[in-house]
Amino acid sequence: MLSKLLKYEFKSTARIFIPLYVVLLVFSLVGRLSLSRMMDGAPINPSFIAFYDLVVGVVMVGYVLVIFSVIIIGLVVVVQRFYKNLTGREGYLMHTLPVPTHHLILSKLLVAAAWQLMGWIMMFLSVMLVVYQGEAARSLQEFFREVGNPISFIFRQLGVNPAGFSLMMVLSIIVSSLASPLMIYAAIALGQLFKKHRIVGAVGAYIALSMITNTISSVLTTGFNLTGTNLSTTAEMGFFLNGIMILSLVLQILMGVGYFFLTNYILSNHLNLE
Amino acid sequence: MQWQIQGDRPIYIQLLEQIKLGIISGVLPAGSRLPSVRDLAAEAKVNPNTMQKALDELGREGLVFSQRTSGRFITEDRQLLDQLKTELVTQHLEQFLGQMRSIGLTREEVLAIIKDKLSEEEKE
Amino acid sequence: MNTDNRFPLLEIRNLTKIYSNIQALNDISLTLERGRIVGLLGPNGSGKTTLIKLIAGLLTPTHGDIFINGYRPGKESKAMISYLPDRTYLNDWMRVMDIIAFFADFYADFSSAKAYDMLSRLQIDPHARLKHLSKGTKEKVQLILVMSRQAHLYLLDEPIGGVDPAARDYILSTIIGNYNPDATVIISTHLISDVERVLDDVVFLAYGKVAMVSSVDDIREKQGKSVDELFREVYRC
Repeated sequence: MLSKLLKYEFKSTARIFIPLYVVLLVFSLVGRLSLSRMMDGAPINPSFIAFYDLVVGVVMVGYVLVIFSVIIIGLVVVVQRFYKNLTGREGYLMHTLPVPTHHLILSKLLVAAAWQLMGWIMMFLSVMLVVYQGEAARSLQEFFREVGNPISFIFRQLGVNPAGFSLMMVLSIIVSSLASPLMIYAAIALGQLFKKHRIVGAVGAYIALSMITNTISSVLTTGFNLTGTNLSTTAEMGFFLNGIMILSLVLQILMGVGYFFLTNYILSNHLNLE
Repeated sequence: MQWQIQGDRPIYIQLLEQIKLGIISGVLPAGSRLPSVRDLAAEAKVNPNTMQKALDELGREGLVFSQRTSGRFITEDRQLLDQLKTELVTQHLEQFLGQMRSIGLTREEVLAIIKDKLSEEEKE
Repeated sequence: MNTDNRFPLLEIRNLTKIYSNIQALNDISLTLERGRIVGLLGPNGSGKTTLIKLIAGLLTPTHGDIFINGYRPGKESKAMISYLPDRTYLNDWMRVMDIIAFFADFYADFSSAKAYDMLSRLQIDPHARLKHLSKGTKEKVQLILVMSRQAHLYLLDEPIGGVDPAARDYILSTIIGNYNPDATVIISTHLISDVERVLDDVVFLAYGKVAMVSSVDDIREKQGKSVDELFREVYRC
C-alpha cells in the first residue's frame, strides 16, 4: 500500500513541480542566451546598448525571482500537501483508506524529500547552464582551480579527507531534506491538538520546536567544544570540524525520528478531523 | 405492479395486501414466477427484509411456494385463489357497509344507491 | 467477503465524545447486526455525524470502545467500511476516472465496472474534471464511489440531504439494489419520510444519547404511527 500512496503523492505534486522546473530551465536558457553575447565580448551595435542592458536586466531579475519561487513553492507544497491532505477536507478520504497512519506520513515525507533534492539539483543545473559558457567557463575553471587548490591544501592540513567531506555534505543535505519536513509535520500535528485556531497552534508549535532544536544543538556543540579543549593545532581543528559535522548529522537524524513518532502518535491516537 | 406505501400501518402488511390484490386481479397470474426479493424490493422502493417478510407470510398462507433453485411461484390452487378473492371481497364489503351504516343509511337506501351508481356508470 | 460471525458487525460500548466542553455523545451503547438497513435519526446537533465519524475512525473517542467485526477503528476496520461523509473530499484537479482508479487501487472490494455503469446511468462523463462538476454532481460521484464497494458496513451521512427528488429515488434504489445479507447500511438523515420505507431499524439520537432503537414495523404496529410521525412527536419540531 505504501507504494500506491507514493505513486499518488508523486502524481499530485508532479503537476506543480514539473511545470516549475520547466519554467526554471526556460529562464535559464533565456538567461544564457542574453548573457552569452556579453560574455563573449562580441561588439554590440551602440544604439542598442541601452535596450540590450534593459533586456539582460529584466531577464536576470526574472531569473532570480524564479529561483526564489522554486525554493518558496517547494516549502509551501511541503506544508500544503500535509495540512490539506491529512488534516483538512481531503483527510476524510485519506484517513478512511485501509492503510496505517505511518504509511500516510511516510508517503508525504519521501516525496517531499525527493522534490527538495530535485530542487537543489535543478538549481545547480540551472546556474551551470547560465554561467558555464565561453570565456566565463574558462574563467570559472580557473577560479575552481585557484580556489580548489588552497581548499584541498587546507583539508590536507586539517587531516580532513576531501572525499569524506563531500560525502558528509551530501549526507547532510539528504538528512536535512528529511528532517525539515518532519519538523513541519510535527508542528501541524501538534496544532491539531488545539480545539480551535489550529493553524495558529501549528505556527506556535513550529516556533517552539525550532527553539528546542536550536537549544539542544547549541548545548551539545558547547559540550563538544569543552571536550575538544584547545584548538591550537590544525589536527585538533580538523578533529573538531569532523566532530561537529557528525554531531549535527546525528542530532538531525535523532530529531527527525522523534518528530516522525510524535506525528504518528498524534495522528493515530488523537485524530479529530474538523 | 403499482406499489403504494403510505399511512401508519406496518409496511409488510401493506405489501402483503398489494401482492394479494395483484394475484386476484391477474397482474400476477397463477403459476407464474415472482421476481426476486431484491427486484421486488427495488420496484416497490422498500427494504428487502420487509419484502421478504411479506413473501414469507404469503408462503405461510399457501399463496406462493418456493422451488429450491428456480425461485418463488404463485399457487395454481384454484380453490385457494377463489377463497382469497371471496375474503377480499367480503372484507371490502363489510368495510363499505359499516361506513354506510355510520352515515345513517338503511338497507334499502344502500341498495338503491348502488343500483343508481351502477346504471350511471353503464351510461357513460 | 469474509464474515466473522463470532462478533457483531458493530458494537459500541459506553461511547462518549467531548469537543471543547460540548458533550456530543454521552455514554452510548449500541449493537448492530448484519443484513440491516438502519436509519440514524435525530435533529441537527444530536450527534449523528459525530457517531459516524467515530466509527469511521476520523475522530478519537473521549471514553468507550467501538468494534467493527471485532476490530477497533484502524486499518482493518477501514477496509470493511465504506463511508460517505457529509461534505465533499475530492481533490479538485482529478478527473472522475482518476478517482475511480484511486478507489480501485486502495479498496480490494471496489468494482470499477459497477462504478462506470452507475456513472453512465447518471450521465456523468468519466473524463470530466472534478472542479468543473456542480456540487450535486460531486455528491453523486462520491455516492457512486461508496456504493461500488462490497463493504461490510456502509456509513452514509446525510446522503439525500442536498439532492433533487429524482436523485433521491436513485440513491434509495441503489441502496436497495446493493442489499447484501452480510452487510449493514447506516443512513443518517433528518428527512425521515423519504427513507422510512427503506429502513429495517431506526436509532433515534437526542442530545448525544440513544433515545430509542426499534424496527420500523414495530413502531407502526405498536404505536400505530409512521416513524416520521413518531419522530415529530418525540422531538416536537
